[in-house]
Amino acid sequence: MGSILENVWITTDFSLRLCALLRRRGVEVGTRQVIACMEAIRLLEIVNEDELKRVYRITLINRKQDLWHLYRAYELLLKDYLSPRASAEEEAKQEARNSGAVRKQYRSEESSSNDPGEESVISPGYSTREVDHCRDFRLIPQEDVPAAMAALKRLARKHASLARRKSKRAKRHGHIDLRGSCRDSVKFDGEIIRWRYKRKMATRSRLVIVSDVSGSMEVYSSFLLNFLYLLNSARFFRMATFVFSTRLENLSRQFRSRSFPEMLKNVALHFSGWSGGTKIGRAIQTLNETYGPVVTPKTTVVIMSDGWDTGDLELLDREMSKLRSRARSIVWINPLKGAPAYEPLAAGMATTLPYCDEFIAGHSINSLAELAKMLGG
Amino acid sequence: MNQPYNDIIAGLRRYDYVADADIAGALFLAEQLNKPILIEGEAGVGKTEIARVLAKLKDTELIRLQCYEGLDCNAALYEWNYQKQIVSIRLNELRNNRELSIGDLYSRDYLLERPILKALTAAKRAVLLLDEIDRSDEEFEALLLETLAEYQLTIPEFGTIKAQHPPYIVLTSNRTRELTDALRRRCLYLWINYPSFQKELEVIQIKVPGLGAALASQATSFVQALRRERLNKVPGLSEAIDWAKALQSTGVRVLERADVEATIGCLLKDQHDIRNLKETMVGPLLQKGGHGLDP
Repeated sequence: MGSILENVWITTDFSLRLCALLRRRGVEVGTRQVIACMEAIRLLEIVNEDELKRVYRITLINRKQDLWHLYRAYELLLKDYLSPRASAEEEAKQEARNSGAVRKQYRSEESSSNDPGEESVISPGYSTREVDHCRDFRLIPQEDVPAAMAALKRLARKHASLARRKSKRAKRHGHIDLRGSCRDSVKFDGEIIRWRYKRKMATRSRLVIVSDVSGSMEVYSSFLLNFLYLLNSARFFRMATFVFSTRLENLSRQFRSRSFPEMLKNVALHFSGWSGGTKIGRAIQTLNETYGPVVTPKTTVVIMSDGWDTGDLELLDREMSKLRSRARSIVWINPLKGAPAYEPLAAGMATTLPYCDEFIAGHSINSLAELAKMLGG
Repeated sequence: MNQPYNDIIAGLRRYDYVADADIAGALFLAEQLNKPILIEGEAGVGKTEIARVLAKLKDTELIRLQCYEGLDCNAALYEWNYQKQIVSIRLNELRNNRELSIGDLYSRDYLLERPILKALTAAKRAVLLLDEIDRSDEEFEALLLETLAEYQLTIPEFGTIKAQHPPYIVLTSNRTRELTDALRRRCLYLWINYPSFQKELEVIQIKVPGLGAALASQATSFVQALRRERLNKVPGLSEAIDWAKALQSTGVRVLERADVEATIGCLLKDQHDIRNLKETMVGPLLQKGGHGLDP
């Protein structure tokens, strides 16, 4: 190991490749950070692995969630250095295991659109969902989108009433802004000609969305992705977006992508648990433990799931009660509730219902209006 | 380990701060590369303390800005001294001289320095602590970008003020919201975990010297075991120190169930946790630490 890293040139090469690999995995590594990393390596004349890792940790990564990606990438690349041939396969395998399956699907979809048989060969049981979503999105009548946006806007406006410390200039009413009036008077020779007013600003609500993307929710996934994208792109809320099947992942940044296809790509790259089993309890536990501070007494938590849980119900009960004690309110959106004869009998649903402030249907983009009505009170 | 790291660790140790190689590495690189450090970690693991000790180590001033919602340019960067400007205009009128120009009114004399400007204009490299940056608004982060990247500040009426002695900038965050990428990219990153047994024991012995070695080790293993339990609010290092102090002041010699129950308010801050602990956990936890005395 030492003999490899002793050489500065090799270290440089290694580091640059690592950055490239990290970027491929969706970790944003800026040029400024790469420069800092190089300078640090030069400065410390690093000779051992631990220190190298430490420098990478400090300079290349800027959020805790990315540490895992760094270690994975590091190990993969190291294998590559030790036995170049084996590693190419390993990376391919790793990619396939991770999010790569999705990407592969993308590529195969692009390259072999005239060969429909190939899809099932590449990864059986795995639909070309992200591409389907694009189509679905196009299929959704465009006239629905403004209506949905309007519903969202109404929801946001009504709900954006949390008092805030920050104040804003007001025309005629509110408190007198002495400092502002004073400032204005400077241009009139120190004469206060007009009082300036200010009033407290209302802030955007904090929203945490936890969305179930497991197998049982598959039919609604198009709605889900559209909903999450609309909500994120509208920027009405200060929000964090999580998705889960057997594990929970924070995809806030990915959902904030500029365009819908870009968002699909980013989301697909970062989450590989689509259509897995449902472990709501474990997901809420991760939310409570790993992302605990995200939920504050000002936060409304919106959980979108059908409540078919394959995990530990006791755990679910405990974690829901913990979440309830920390959040402002919990809203459960269940796509099944849209069916006329539905009753919340699924074990998971029955457990969580007592902790939910609201329980509403969510099977089409129109149910946004219901959400708006409910949140707006 | 590298010599510079050892120097920093020893330096921090002189001021009662037990650092590991990660912390030393981040401080060393921040100084050498002239970059701010963003520190994240669970509550009470000593994030803010790093800035405080760094200021002592460098024998310089600690300029602290506690962030909160609604924090703006006037409170964080600079403000014009309007009252003084008005008084000057009036005096100028009364004395009937025409010496005062607009340029004079917007000069250094009329500028009120808020923490960030103060840190940039300090005569010596100061330590600027932006505490709990996640509590400020996202818009506020944008105000900081120029300072974080260039160590300068542009005031429209005045011009650009560039730091002669760039301060050490330390940002801390409790992750109540995701910080923007723009801010993160400009900083070195340091994640601090809950301390290991060795580190925690060392800290407790330093901070509470009167506590006997046996009791210190017993208390530490209790806290370490407690952190592995399911709690609503996991105790940090600072709570552990408080608890050790409480144990010392109540004259405990050997940790027993009654002592734990009497002083548990220092360690756990959630009623549900305390009830759980009293009902089921104290005995097993005392045993887990290898000091089962009162099951």
